[in-house]
Amino acid sequence: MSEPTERELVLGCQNGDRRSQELLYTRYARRMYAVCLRYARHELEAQDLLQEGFIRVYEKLGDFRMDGSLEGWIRRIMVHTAINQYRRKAFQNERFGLEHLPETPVASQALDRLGAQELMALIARLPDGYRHVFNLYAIEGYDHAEIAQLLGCGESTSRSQLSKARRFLQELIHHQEEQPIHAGKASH
Amino acid sequence: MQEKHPIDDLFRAALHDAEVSPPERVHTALADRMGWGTRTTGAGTPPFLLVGIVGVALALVSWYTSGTKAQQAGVVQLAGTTSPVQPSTAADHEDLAGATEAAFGNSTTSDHLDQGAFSAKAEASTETPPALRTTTSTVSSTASDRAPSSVPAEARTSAAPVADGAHGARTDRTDESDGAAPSDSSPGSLALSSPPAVRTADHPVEGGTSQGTGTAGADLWSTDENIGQALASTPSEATFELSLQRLSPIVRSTDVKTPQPLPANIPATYLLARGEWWWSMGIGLSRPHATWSGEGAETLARSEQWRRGQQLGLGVGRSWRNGFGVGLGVAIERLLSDFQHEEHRPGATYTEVDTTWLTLNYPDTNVPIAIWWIDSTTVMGPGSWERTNARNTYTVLQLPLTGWWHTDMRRWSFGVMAGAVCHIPMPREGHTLARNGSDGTWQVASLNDGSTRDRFRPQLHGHAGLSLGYLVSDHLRILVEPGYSTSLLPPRGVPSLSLSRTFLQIRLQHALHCR
Repeated sequence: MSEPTERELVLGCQNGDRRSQELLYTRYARRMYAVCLRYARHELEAQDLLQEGFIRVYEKLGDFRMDGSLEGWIRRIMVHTAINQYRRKAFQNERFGLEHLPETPVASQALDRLGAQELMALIARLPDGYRHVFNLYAIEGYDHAEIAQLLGCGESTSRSQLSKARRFLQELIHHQEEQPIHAGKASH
Repeated sequence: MQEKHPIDDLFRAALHDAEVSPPERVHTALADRMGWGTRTTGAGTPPFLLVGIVGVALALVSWYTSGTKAQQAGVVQLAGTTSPVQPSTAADHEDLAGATEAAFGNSTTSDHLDQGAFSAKAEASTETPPALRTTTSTVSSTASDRAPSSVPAEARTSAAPVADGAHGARTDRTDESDGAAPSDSSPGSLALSSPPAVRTADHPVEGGTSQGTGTAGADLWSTDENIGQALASTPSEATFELSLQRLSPIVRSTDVKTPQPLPANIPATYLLARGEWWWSMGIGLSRPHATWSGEGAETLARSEQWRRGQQLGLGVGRSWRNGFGVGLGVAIERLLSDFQHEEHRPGATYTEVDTTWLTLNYPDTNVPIAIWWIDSTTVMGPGSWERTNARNTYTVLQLPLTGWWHTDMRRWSFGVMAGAVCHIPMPREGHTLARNGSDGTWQVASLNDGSTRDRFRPQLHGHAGLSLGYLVSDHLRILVEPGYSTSLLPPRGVPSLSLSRTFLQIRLQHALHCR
């Protein structure tokens, strides 16, 4: 039996076909879990986001008009689910003393040596606000106006947090050069 | 500020399309909430299944032999007899341990003042029947055995103060979580190398924020608080029981005060929207065709030329995802016709008198006599033709019950419709023909005259047509519907009017609620 097309999956889900729902999950769960991991603080929260996100996907599929990428549409829902979770928990009052971090350029060879696994780990170590802004801007491609609207902050805050997130990551990469992240020790 | 940065490209290239296999428990929980049914377990499941079945059997035996003890403490019961999924897979054990950790983490890290309550809860856990204790200890030993040596020492040492003593489940979970995460991922896939406890420990900035596993319980509590309120009498119990419910569909909670277990099939909080309610307003134009029946049908048909109808209506209804829909409405239709009747009026009757002098001889004599001859003739005048013209207006109240079927193509929808309409006549304006009671001739009468009232009784019409729609926005659809309507039960006997129509209606349909 051939794999159902994207359109067949959507129509099946819209008609409440459970098999189509399950196939939809199977097809996109891996990518969406990677998205959730980038936004969550830990794996349990990522799993929760993934579950809630797919529930929303099934709820909203009736509105999907098939005039765009289904994966992109699901990804947006996942991102919005994560942001809503973040906003609900109101962790925006975090304060991190990052101003002292030096604006040190990262050597290109250092970047080349970093794989996706290490990069994911680096993002996971970012504070919540920085992580969300960095994810939205650098990886998802949102602009600052959209980020400000999503997070309920000002554009200047978004720019500032992005800048600090970059510096934070640069600092982490420097430490990565000195000591692998797997060792679990970050000397500060 | 520099908008583009090399580090952005690096992360985007590496992570935008990254894939990580989610743990099986997410699929299991989703399947439970969505009602996907039993999922086939992996090849390594049977041994665990067997152990689980034996464990459940032992637990049930112990349960019944120490029932009074169980009623005094928090009870967690494996509902393997009612759930289609067997509660003995490794993932299930992880769920149980993970849920325990989530609940305990919520109590310990979010609020240190809750330590007392947490300890009390832990004591309650030690009072749980052998079913839970047996399962938990099995998980603990298994998970500890599987804990890889590469797990940072800081992870365990940081968790140890929280997880010591009665919080054995937390210690087990910490180790198990570190070790089991890679096993959930497919070969070559990504896995976070720093588990929550590691993150908290290896970075002093984050360590001060208490964002580690302690918030996991809060997540679960916040997202399922509606269920929690129904299940638990105190927040701490709710968190504990919710976590079990959330992460492992096979573990059911039992209220401490009520020994009866909850139904296995707790209704899923989610149901895919099967359709939508809508309301609509529309206008329509129609071209009526009248059919008279009964005595004088031909005369009546000849006297009235039907022009058009105008319609304004409101409706409510429901559409389903399979394309079918049904709606009920109310509409006012105004029908226009031209009445024309020509009637010959005879001329007046008069008498013509003709007078003449006649001279005659008296009979048998030559004596002349004169006679004044008067001749009268009754003459009827030529008369006249009288024409009556009127613009008739009929108002009809319509109560349509209509069914639709549509198929969608992007924003467009194509379909058919059919239904029945009850036509209730309302006051009319204009003229028509009616029999004169004395000589039976047709005479012009008002449409509201009592002699014509029987012609306009309520009627049942059927209508059918096409339905073409365009989705203007998420909730608004515009529909163009040409169709045909005719009387289903035309009246017999008395002169009566039945109208059939070809119509074109345009409706704006607004979705009210998707569910």
